[in-house]
Parts: sequence; C-alpha cells; structure tokens
Amino acid sequence: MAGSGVRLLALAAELTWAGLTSPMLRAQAIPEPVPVAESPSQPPWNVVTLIGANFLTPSNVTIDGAMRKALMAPGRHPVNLFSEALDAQRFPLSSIEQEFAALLAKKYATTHVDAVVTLGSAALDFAEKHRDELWPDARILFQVVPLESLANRSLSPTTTGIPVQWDIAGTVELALSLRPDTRRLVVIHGSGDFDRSSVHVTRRQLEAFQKRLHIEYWTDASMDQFSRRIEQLSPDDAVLYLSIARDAAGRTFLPREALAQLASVSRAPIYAPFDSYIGHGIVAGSLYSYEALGTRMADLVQEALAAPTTPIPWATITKASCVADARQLEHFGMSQARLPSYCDVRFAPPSLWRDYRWYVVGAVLAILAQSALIFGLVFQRRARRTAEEEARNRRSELMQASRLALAGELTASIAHEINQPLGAILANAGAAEALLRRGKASSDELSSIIADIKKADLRASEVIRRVRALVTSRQSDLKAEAMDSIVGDVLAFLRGEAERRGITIEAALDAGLPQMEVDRVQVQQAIANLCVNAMDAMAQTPQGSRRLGIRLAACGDGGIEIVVTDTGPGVPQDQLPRLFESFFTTKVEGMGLGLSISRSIVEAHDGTLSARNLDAGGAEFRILFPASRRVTKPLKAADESLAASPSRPPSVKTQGTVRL
Amino acid sequence: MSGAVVHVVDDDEQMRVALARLLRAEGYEVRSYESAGHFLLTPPDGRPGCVLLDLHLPGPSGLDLQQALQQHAIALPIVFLTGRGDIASSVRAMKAGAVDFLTKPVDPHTLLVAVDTALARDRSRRASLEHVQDFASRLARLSGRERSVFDQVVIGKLNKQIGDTLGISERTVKMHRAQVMAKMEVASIAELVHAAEILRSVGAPRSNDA
Repeated sequence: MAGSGVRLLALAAELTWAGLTSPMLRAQAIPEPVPVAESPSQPPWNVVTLIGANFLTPSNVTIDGAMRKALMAPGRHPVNLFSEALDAQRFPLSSIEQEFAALLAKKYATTHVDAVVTLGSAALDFAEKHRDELWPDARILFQVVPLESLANRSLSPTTTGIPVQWDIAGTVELALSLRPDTRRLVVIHGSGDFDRSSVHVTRRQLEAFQKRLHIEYWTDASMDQFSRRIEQLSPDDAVLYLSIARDAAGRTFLPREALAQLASVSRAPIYAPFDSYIGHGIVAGSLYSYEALGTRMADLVQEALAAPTTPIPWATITKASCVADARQLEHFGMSQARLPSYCDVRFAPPSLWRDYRWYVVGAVLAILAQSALIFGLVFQRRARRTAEEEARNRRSELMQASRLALAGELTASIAHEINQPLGAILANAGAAEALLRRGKASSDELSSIIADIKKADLRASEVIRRVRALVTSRQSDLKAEAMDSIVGDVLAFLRGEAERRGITIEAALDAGLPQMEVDRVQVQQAIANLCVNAMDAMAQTPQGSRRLGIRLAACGDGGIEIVVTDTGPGVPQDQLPRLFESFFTTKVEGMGLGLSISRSIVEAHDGTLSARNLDAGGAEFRILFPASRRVTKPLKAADESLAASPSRPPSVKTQGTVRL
Repeated sequence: MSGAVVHVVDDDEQMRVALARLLRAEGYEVRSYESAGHFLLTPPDGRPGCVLLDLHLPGPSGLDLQQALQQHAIALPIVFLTGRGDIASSVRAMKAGAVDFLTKPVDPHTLLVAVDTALARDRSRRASLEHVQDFASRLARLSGRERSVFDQVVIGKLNKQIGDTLGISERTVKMHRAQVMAKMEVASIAELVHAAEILRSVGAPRSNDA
C-alpha cells in the first residue's frame, strides 16, 4: 500500500519533469495494475444452502435471495455460496437419500464447507443425518422449521437456526375480525409429506377456536375436487389454506399456484400464515416476512462462522405480523378498518392520494390558486369592461352635454338665424294681405310672395335641422361622408355667431376630397368646438382683424386635415401641453371640456388633434384623419369605440323638437 | 303721406325684399339698402321719411349708422329691427333716439304702426323745425330794445319791473310790447311764451345784448 503510493508519487514527479509533450512517454508511463485489496485477504467461507423443496419454491427464493444479498454486502466476510435442493415436497426423499448423499459427497469432496443453511424440516433432518460424511465440521443453521417440531429432534451441539412458529391462530383471528360472523372454517392441505407437515401445528393452534367455529379439514382430494368444493362454500365461510404441493391425484404444484387456482373460484375468503402466499389469493394472514428471515439468517451465519465451535442459541425474529391484500379485501367487500392498525395492506390499487399526497395537495393548491387567479382576472376583466362601458356612456353623455352647451352658447345666433326667415315670412304675408285688402294684388306678385315665403320657410327649417342634428341624443353612426359638406355645415351653423362677433370667416374647402368613414355629428362637434374656441380667443382682437380661418385639404399619404386658425393672442407656451386636458381652461366661463372632447372624438376616429401658435400670431388647431378612414371597404354599422349608451332617454328624438 | 320715403337697411335679402314689399303694399315709398355703407353712399335728398334699420349688419352695425346719421345731422327717425333682442343694444338705440326697437319676426301691424309713428315724428319735427325758422326770422326783425322787452316778458316780468330794469317808462314798455307782439305775429302772451320756448329749445340766442 505504502509502496504503491510512493511509486505513484514518483511517477507523478517523472511526468511533471518530462513534461506532457511526448505521448510516447506518457503511454509508457502507464503503471502496471496496482492491487486494490485494502485488508489482508481472508479465506472465504463456503456456505451451502440446502433447500428441502425445489429451487423455485417461492419461499426459498425469497429467503435465499435475502440471505445472499445480506451476506454479499460489502464489509462482510467473503462467502462462497452453493445451493442444493432435495425437492422433497414432490419426491419422497427416502427412495433416493443414499444416492443423493453420495452425489453430494462426491461433489463437495474437495470443498471445505463451513456452514450448511437448511430450508425446511426435511433439509434439516438430511443435513443432520449426513453432516459427518458430507460436510464434517460444518455448522448447520436451520431455517423454516416449526418450533414445535424441534422438541422432537436431537440436533448437533453446534447446530442452531431460526425456528418458526406459524401464526395460524393469529391468522384465524384476522379472519374473524374481518368477518366476525364467520361460522365455518375450512382448512385445506394437500397430500404430500410437506403438505402434512404443518397440519399438526395447525390443529393444535385451532383448538382454541373450537367453540366459535365449525372447523373442517379438507385433504386427500384432487385439485379439481378441491376447486369444485371450494366453489360451493358460502361467502360467510372462511378457508385456511396451508399448502398443496401434491394432490390426491398425484399432481404436484407450487403451493401458491394451487392457491391461486382455488382463489379464482372460491366464494369464501382464503387465509394463510405464509408470506409467499400474499398476493396470490389470500385475503390476509399473520405471517413472517421471508425477507426478514433471510436477512436474519445472514447475520446468524456471520455469527456462527466467526466462532465455529461456540454453541449459539436459537435466534428469533420479531413476531408474525398482519399482512393483507387490498384487492381481496375489496373483492369480498371487507373493510380495511377492521384490520389492526399496524396491518400492512398491500396491492392497494394505485391511489394518487396515498402515493402522491403532497404532489396532489400541491397540484390542487396550484389549481385552486390558478382558478382563483383566473376567477380574479375574469372578474377584473368584467369590472374593467363595465367601467369602460360606463366611461363610454359618460363620455357620450358628456359629448351630448357639451353639444348642448355649444348650442346654448350659440343660442343668440341660432335665434337670429331662425328669426330672419320667420320675419321675412311674416312681412311677406303682411304684404300679401295688404295687396289683397286694397284689391291691388296681381297674381304674379302673389306667386312671387308665396315663393319667397316657401324659400324662407325652408331656410328656417334648415337651421332647425342643423341645430337638431347637433343636439339630438343619438347612437354613434359611421358613414361615408364628404368632409367639405361636414365643414360647410359647421360654418353655416357658426356664420351668424361669427357675424355677431364681428369675425370674418375665411374658409378654403377642397371639395374634391375622398369620402371618409366618420360620425358626421361628432366630427362637426369637434370642428365647431375648435371654431368657437377660436372665436372666443379673438374677443380682445380689434374688430377689423378678427379672422377665423378654416382649411380642409388632403394631407400626407391619403389623409385629410382640417386646420382652424384664429388671429387671437395664441396659446401661452406653458399651457400648450395641458391644452387638451379635461377641465383645463383659460376662459373665465369655460368648463375646459371642449378641446378635450374634440380630441377624444378625433382619436376615436384614429385621428390626431394638435395645436400650435402661428408665427404671425394666433393659434392653429389641426385635425388629421388618417388614410385608413378613407372609404374603401364596406362600412361597419357602428364603431365600438364610439358606441353610445344603448338605453337613452328618447325624449329628444321622438318628440322631434330641438331643446336648447 | 306722399313724398315720405321709408329707407330699409337689412343685409338679409329675403327680409329686405319682404319688408319693402309689405311697405309698398301699404302705400309707402321704399328704398332698400343692404348695408350701412350703401345707405350713406346715397345722398340724402331732404325728403321726409324714416329708416327701418337692421341692428346687425355686416361691417358697421345699425347702431354705428344711427350715430353717423346724428353726426351728419340727418335727423331721420329710426326704427330698429333685430333678429336677436339684446337689452344692451336696445337701450343704446333708444337712448340715441330710436323710435322703436322691434324684434324679428315682427308682426306687420306692429311694424306699420312703428313706421307711421316714425313718419309722424319726422313730420312734426319738420313742422316744428319750420316754426323755429319762422320765429327765428321774426325774432330777427325785433329792434334791440324790443328784443330786451321780449326777453323780460317771456320770463313773466311785469311792465313796471321791465321799465325799472331797462330804465324806461312803463308807457314806453307797453309800446315796445305791442310792437313785439305784432312783429312776432302772436295774439297773446301765451303764444309769445311758446315761441320763446321753441326758440330756446333749438338754442336761439337768448338776447342780442345779453
């Protein structure tokens, strides 16, 4: 160990010194294999497992496997394991015992066997009997031998083992706690030597139940007979299955295969005290874990071989314990709750809750949280929609109110516009009256009077129409509109007001523009707001130079611009950014809504509204409707973004009157 | 009524035509103008009449025209017409001597009454204007002493007081007084006082030697 360490160090130094440039050198430097054994080599123990039954008997496989695993575990004394099987369950040993022993003697002639582990009573007996000739000095360690039978045996002083005490009484107790009203217990076992080996113990343990149960023993029947009879049982009966390794007809079985066959037809629950049966048809049993037996045996082997000649008392393992098959419980409609709480219930159908409780809890919580989130979001979305609709309604109402306010502001000029034709009508009528009264009426004159009356009437109703169009509550209505007509209407509407205020309107309207998809009244409102604003701005401007400019023209790539200019003092530079805010006003009586509403109207049409001061003095407001508003596609009935409240007081509309 | 002209000033053609038509049907002679400027451009011919004036006119307003007429001593009575009655304007118009302030649409009868009133006022103005001129020319015929006596008489002084004031005898006062009555072509002291009132109202000199 120390030598190899030094050699490795030397090698490392050599590599460092030589550098790593030469692959040849490195290839040559690979050291010869270094022994890795850490402790001085111990001669392995040779251990023979002698199986009474055959190799494949499930109990043997389990016990042997567990033992091997434990013996081979790292850190243990090295062991060579051998296995032999007597197969005594199926072939009576007496007929071949001598030959078999001779075979083994020859086989192990050159192998010193340190220990023989026997599985089953037959194997123990065989080993005791032939130890001296086969495996002198070997310690015999027995396994799976009923405690009761050991009293009748005279064993070598060095022999020890793990006796078992099949818990038949405990198994029947389990049957009774699962079905307290069970009246009949049928004990089934086969006809082989092995099958009979546990009958005696069984009878003894069942004596305690004689008063509570009617106990029958079924044996010496063929498998078919067993099957037929077990089919006849009532579900209130119980079956205690010991083993069928061989039936009366001479057929041999693995006992648990026979069990499975019976269980498939039995109407009564089957119980058994053996670990290897669990999962193969029994409902429950009070049994020893074969795996625990195997592991315990490995310890015993270690102990026994560490002191080969010291007698060791029999080992014990913990008490037999309840094991049940959930599928069988369910099949017979039995409640797990009736089993002892420590009972190991196996083969429960996979249950998410049982196997992945925390994952399930986590998943459920996650889903709940997610649901809550979704619910919250949906709720929030609804609340937002309601709020948006509310806001839309409010805005629509505000627009309406603002239009009414605008109309109110223009009342004087509106009245003038209407009174003018009305006055003409009255005067014409008066003239006609006078002519008729004086008998001077010529039909030519009368017809020209009537024509003038009609003209004036139409003019008055046109004014009314314009006012009504502006102030009537209405749904938003997108249509293809000629912008010059829209602007022209606004100017006709405002002309009187401009006149009243001594303002000259300078309009330049391009009539050849493409139609745009807009809400006529809303756009008119936006423009009228800008114009009235401009007129208000010129209150302090000297009479002769009050000019309201309005220009409608194509702009950019297919858009349309409407520019309103005034010759007022302009907008103070620091107020320009806040100009379009609601309730921002520079006027004494202003509400500060006009420009804000104008902008929201324009923006609802995908347009922009901007303001700037002109170099020559005065302010310029510019509405730009984008090319996307040009009418090229079929019109939608109404634009969602402009939709007014669906339920409006219909008074104005239905009465057909203008209320100013 | 013949010879009187109603001047209609209204920028609204329909209104202007209708008003002219109504007035003509009622037998008035009418001249129409579409703005204050047009009216002022037409030289006044001194004929009696009145102005039917729209308050709101493009360019100079009705009130502006009223003021201009006063400055040019064109004393045609004015009836205002307006499409929108605002109190401030009507007060201004009435203070400046408008005959009436009518709101369109105006009832033809009301309109005709106002026009008649305006024309009557023009007539009486013209009549009193003639009176003033008569009295003024008669007054001019008085001698200095007679004028002094006239001034004292019309403020109600007695002959004796007048004589004391002027330093002449009561008899001489009586003689001058008779002369004044004759020259002023009045039959009573009351008429003489009336003539003095009229003259004072147009600002005739109170006394040549005062």
